[in-house]
Amino acid sequence: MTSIQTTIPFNIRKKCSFYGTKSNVPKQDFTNATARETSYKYTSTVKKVITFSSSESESDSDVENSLVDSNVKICGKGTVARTPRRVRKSSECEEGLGSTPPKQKRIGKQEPFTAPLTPSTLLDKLHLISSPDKEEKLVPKQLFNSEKYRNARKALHSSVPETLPGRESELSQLEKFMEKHLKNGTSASLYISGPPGTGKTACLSKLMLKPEFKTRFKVVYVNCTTMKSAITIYGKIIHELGLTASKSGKNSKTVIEKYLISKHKMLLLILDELDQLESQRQSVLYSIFEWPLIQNSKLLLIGIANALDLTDRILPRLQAKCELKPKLMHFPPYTKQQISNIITERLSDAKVSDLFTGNALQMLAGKVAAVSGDIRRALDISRRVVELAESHKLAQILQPTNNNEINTGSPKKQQFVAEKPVDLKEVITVLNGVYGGSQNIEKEESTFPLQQKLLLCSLLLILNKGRNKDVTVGKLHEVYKKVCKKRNIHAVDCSEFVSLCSLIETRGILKLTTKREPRLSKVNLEWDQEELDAALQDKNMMAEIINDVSCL
Amino acid sequence: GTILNTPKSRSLKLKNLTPSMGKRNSTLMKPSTPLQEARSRLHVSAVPKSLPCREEEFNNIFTFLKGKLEDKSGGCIYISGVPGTGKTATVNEAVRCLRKLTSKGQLDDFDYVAINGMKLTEPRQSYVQILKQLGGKTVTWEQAYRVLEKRFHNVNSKMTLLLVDELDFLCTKRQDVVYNLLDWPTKATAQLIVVTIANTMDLPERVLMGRVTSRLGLTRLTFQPYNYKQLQEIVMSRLKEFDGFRSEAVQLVARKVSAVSGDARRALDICRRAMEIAESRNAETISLQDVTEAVSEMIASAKVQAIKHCSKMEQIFLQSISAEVTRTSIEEVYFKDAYKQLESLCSFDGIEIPTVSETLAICGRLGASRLLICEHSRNDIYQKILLNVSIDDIHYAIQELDFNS
Repeated sequence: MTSIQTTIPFNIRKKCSFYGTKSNVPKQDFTNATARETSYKYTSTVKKVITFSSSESESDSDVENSLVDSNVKICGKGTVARTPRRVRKSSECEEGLGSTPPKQKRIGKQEPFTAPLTPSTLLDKLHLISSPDKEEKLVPKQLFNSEKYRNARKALHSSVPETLPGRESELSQLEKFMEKHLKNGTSASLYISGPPGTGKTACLSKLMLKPEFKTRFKVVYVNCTTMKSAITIYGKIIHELGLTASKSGKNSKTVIEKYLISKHKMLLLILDELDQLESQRQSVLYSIFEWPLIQNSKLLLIGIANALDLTDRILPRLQAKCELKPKLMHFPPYTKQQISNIITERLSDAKVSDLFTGNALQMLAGKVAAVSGDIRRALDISRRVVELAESHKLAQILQPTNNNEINTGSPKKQQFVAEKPVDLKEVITVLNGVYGGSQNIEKEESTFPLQQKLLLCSLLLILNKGRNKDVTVGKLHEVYKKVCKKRNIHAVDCSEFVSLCSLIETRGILKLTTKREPRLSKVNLEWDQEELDAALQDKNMMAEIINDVSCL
Repeated sequence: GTILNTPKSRSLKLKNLTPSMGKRNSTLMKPSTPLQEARSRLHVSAVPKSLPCREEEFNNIFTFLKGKLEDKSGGCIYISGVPGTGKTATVNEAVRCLRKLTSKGQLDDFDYVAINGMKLTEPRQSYVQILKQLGGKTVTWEQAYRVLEKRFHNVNSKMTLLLVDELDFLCTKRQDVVYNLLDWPTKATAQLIVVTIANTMDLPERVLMGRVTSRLGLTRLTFQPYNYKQLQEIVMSRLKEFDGFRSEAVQLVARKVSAVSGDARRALDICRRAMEIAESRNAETISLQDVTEAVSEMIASAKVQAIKHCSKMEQIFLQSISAEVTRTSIEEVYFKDAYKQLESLCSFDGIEIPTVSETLAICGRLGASRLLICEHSRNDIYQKILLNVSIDDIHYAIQELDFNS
């Protein structure tokens, strides 16, 4: 496998170098274009150096790099700040400089220019060896192809974005709510619900960063999953507020309450994943939701969770008093239109909006919206689609090089391939892989071990023809042994059989309800028979066994 | 005074020491014969440099990780598959290749942390382990968590690659550890890639909560069990120039194993056992017979043998239980009913009938060897008994005995 990996870059390099010599000018164009598009282009230069060095000989490259290093030091401070990129990567010295943010992209370009200016003759030598024209050429080309996909992949990250298309109404609603209470100086509580991946946390973190709220609120954001138990939330809040509490934490609640009574800035307390605070008597949740009612407290409490009815279900006593009742707000799952808007916006931000065809995007958005409306999923799938397209393209590029090393026509072809947007085909492949259910994984390759097939067939036989549908492992083993005997196959013994069952369980086909004796544990079939048919792929044997009542 | 000082100095010492093991006095024996050498190469621990038959999976993992490392963005991947299909070995190989790339300078340096759910006494200890591998200090999990939280909320110069093996052992009821491990990569600043490995294909849907599944994402990879050709290739690639192992013999092992589980560890174990058997015969080559013997040793059941070697009265008791099961066609048998059957069987054979307490002792012995499943013996004659072997096995074992004698 390692050999495969190494050969791929080699092929590309060779190919590129072949068409390289002529087009010095186009190469410049490419790099400039890419440089403007994204801020993270540093890798280009690095790759350049590395591929080259590996191609010739390791020792040579080291010498060169170190030379560059020394030259740079000589030639002036202005350049030092830029060169470290290259220096660090190739010859891991000067770590401090190397840790500068990876944004210096253009610098790599400038380096060749600065280098000749320095007086040392060594450098000239280096220049001759290290950067022949073809070398330079090859890199922009390689970059151009992958850059687009990489930009797309980066743009489709699933961390919190700057803009939240599709959540405008919720944002304004939240903002209004906060504005109102800020102006009046009144306390209130709000409960935000919604399925995972609908942008609840993203909305709030965006509002939290707003300068007007940032200055006028004291913001405390607590993710409740990080709490050891419900009670420790008080300690966390105290810590966030910068108060001092006794070590025992016994009166931490009163410390907070005292703070609430005292004069303070309006406090915005956000509790993410609120359902983690559930406890036996819900005392913590109740007391937190009662804080807004404390006289003179200026507290805006916002709780976030998945369940729609969390406050009604686990906090029924809040209903008794209208002031206590938190305002409810629901984040609905994203619709098809919203999902496609989000993806288009992100792609156009990265200037790769032509990567997806309209059909492909609609298909993807429609499918995700129909299943869950979870934006994390949509982004994940689109990322996978891009990855898939990239690997396809890589394969396409590699093929011609393997066949004939010298073909000047190939660059054009490559260009064409790179331009090709992601189409319906790739999207469908990924969607089928994700939503086609686990059974179609087996469809591709029949790697089902024979004994496991026999086990499942015996189970089907019992379920279809047997009187008692309560199947224990012991009973299943009896039938299985008879089936094996009839087919002249060596049957495994009981202890092995139990482990076979658990192996099948990992595929999700069976479910074993564990009893104290493995022989007595019950076997439940989780898939229906058609799915199993497709998975087993052995129609003849299955039909034979399933209709063989004599084995029961 | 000195007594009081000692513990202090000792604890100080312990802090800076790295754990070490006692060393062997004699040097390790080098494998002398080609057979021994081949056997040492067949050992499960001798992981080859490149794994045969896992090229596609390797490429998948490698390109995923490389892409993420180059992009400096976080992400998760979930890898599943039954035991012994090369999941951990493939990931380790991918990481090794990435390391090689960084040493060549083609990739930025990254931190690599590997934790194993089964090696932790408690899921939250994973924070401690991660911090220890990153920084080298051992603190309590709360502190470790706080440090990690701070680390992943600030921009790092380095990417972090975290491998979580046996993910299902980290899943508690609240699933806070899994949530945190999978939530960090979603932070833009974290630059963390999490590779999770487990056996169950549908673990995210079956066990994990909705919000954890959503964070885990849909980048998944399933390792299918090896088929016989792949197992054969694996064994052959390890044997290399050693030609004492007949290819039919390897094929037999591969077919036997692939029919049951497709576990490469098992195939290697059987091959090694066959070599040991051949060695004990002083043979140079491993024949089909050796392999059959090894297979029957490792796969065959010992229950028939156990019944055969029971005492006469224990065998009659087993027979009486099976007679009672066939009479009532209910699997559970009361001791008193079985005793009745025993009485008639004994009088039929003309053997003196054992007393109830003697029979209870027999029942207890059979229960201890797990041929029977018994209830607590304080129920005396009202205890329920279940056969832990099939009735056919009993007939087979006992009839064969009668036939022999």
